[in-house]
Amino acid sequence: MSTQTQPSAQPQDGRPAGHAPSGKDTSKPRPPWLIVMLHQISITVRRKAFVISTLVTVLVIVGGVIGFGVLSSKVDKLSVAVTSQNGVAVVQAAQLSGEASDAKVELSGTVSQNPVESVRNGETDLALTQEGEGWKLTARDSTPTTALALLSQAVEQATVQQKSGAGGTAWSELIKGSTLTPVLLEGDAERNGMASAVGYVFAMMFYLAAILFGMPLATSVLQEKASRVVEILAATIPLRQLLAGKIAASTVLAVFQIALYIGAGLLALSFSPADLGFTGVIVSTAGWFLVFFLAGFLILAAIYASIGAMAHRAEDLSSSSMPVIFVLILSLFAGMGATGNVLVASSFVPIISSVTMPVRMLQSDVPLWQTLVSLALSLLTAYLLIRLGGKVFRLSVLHTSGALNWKSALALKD
Amino acid sequence: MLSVRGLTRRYGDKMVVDHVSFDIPAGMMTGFVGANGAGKTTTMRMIMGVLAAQEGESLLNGVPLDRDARSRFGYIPEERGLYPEQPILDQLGYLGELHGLSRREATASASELLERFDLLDRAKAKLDSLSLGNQQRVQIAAALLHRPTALILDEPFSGLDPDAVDSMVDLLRERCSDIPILFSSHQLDLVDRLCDHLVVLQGGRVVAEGDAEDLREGGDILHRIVTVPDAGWLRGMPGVQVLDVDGASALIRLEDPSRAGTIAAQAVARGELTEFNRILPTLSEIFREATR
Repeated sequence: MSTQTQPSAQPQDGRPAGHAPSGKDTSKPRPPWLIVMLHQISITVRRKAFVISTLVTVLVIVGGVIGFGVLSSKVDKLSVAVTSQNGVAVVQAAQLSGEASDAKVELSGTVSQNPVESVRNGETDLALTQEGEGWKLTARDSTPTTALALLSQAVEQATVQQKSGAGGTAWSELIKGSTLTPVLLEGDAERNGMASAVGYVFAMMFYLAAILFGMPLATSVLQEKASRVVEILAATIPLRQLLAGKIAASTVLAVFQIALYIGAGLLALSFSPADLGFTGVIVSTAGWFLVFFLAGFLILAAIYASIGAMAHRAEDLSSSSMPVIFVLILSLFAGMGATGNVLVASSFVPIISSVTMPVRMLQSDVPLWQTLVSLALSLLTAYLLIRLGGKVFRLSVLHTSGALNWKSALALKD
Repeated sequence: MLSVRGLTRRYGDKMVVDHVSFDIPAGMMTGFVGANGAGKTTTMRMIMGVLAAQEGESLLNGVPLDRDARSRFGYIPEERGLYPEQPILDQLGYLGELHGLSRREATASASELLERFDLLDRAKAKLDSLSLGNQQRVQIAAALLHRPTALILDEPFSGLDPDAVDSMVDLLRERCSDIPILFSSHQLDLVDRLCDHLVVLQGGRVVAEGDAEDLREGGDILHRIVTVPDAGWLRGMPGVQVLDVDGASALIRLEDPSRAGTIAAQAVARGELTEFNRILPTLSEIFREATR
């Protein structure tokens, strides 16, 4: 029997095969992929470069959003076209309460024969009109929210005053007809502009995450192969568990980082003094983007892991990852520039759909089934590629005499 | 006991390991020798399941090895293999966990081994900041930390100075005194000194296998004899083959060991017998004989 000198409970030597290791620690052993994933994550987050680059990016995003807000939060001078002096009084009341609450907006009323037309031809920024049982605030392509709030308040007060003078009674009766509805003359154009701006951000994020996490994943697989530690690992756990753990670690870190960036951006946006329309659409699409990002990233991770397994030296990585980079750049451009049928078609192509489907959702309301079908296609592709990657990994890991391509790797025998 | 039965591996048309069978008894150091390309590494990889065997199987105490059983083996691959840029204790803990230990057990076991190697103060150092000898020690720690049920060590002593080899062997004998240990080596004198059991591989086949003592005894029976003034008379003796003679000293092979007494008596009668020794062949000689 061996001499046990350490106090910790070690399993005894010569355990018969098939017995689980026993010790004081009776907690169920973790599955290998989870051990691999946690190890990879702990290595990555302890890297100074990772921590610093993440923090810097968060600061740039927050700084950018707030800076943009501050720049565009100079006092907004808005002219409001109205039909009568009454209207001018309402605008003045709104302006006064705006001054009282220190709002960054300056409203001035002008009487016009056709207020909406004066907005359309650019003479004024807004038109305040009473139509039927309510009021309308017409703007060209976006409704300034502060002005809308101030004017709603003023319209309500004016209506109540007018009616109480006429001897009205109930409050509900008093405020009747005081609702101010915003109207846009060119609403779709604005939404498209916002969609392309946010789509550009999504596309860049996806591209950067793929580059920032894909190559290190391939390198880490190659290093395990090159340092031959993979032989010890292969003798200990199934290699597909190793691959799954590594892909899971990259995906968790990438999704965490993107969620952090999106969260920081949205948080900064909520503190930003500037008005940005469609915040609701952006928030809900950001959630979908995260889901599509996850699916697209899984596919890329499987490809990058296979590239790492097939490579022989670090130089092989750059050449074998060229096709992936090409697809990534394609998705970048599709996300930024595709329109019409091309955009619709591309939103069903895995990897590219990670960018184009969220862009479509920003631009217009996409039927839910289309979103789900596109997501299912991505997840199916990810599953198949992870399986294929596992096979390539297992076959090429002991192949140490040069780089392989997909064909030669899959032709190898166990 | 770990047994290998009919393991076979071809690469294309080339037969690398050809129906190899041998035993690795528990509680013994089994040396695995053979020239380059004899198939040692391929055999060890097949035992560890890293490489699939095209035919044959490996068994521990009669039970065919599965992944579960192999995951409790300790393995040092031919080309080594740890993470050069990760802290030592970190990666040992990780490997211990993969071998089924809890994180706490793994770290405790790794610390104990590092302490034994006087490396505990370097526990947080990256592997590649260590000397090659110390890297090799960490490699051995990685194979031992989960208290393996068998050890498959491909060239475990290469890169170690003689003192380091001795301390490593002490450690193996102490911690792994009752499990099968297979180690390959090119250093025949080392194998000669360390192993209790020997397997000689040539061209993918086992050409000699057995306990070291039996192999030595089973070889030619050689004697060194020194008779003053001259040993030349031995040439005329029946049943004696003189391999070498130099003045009073001769190396002879006896066809029948019981003739030794007669030879000694003759020597005394002819003059003075100053030396008469049985010479056991070294394992290197057995190896050379077996692979000739």
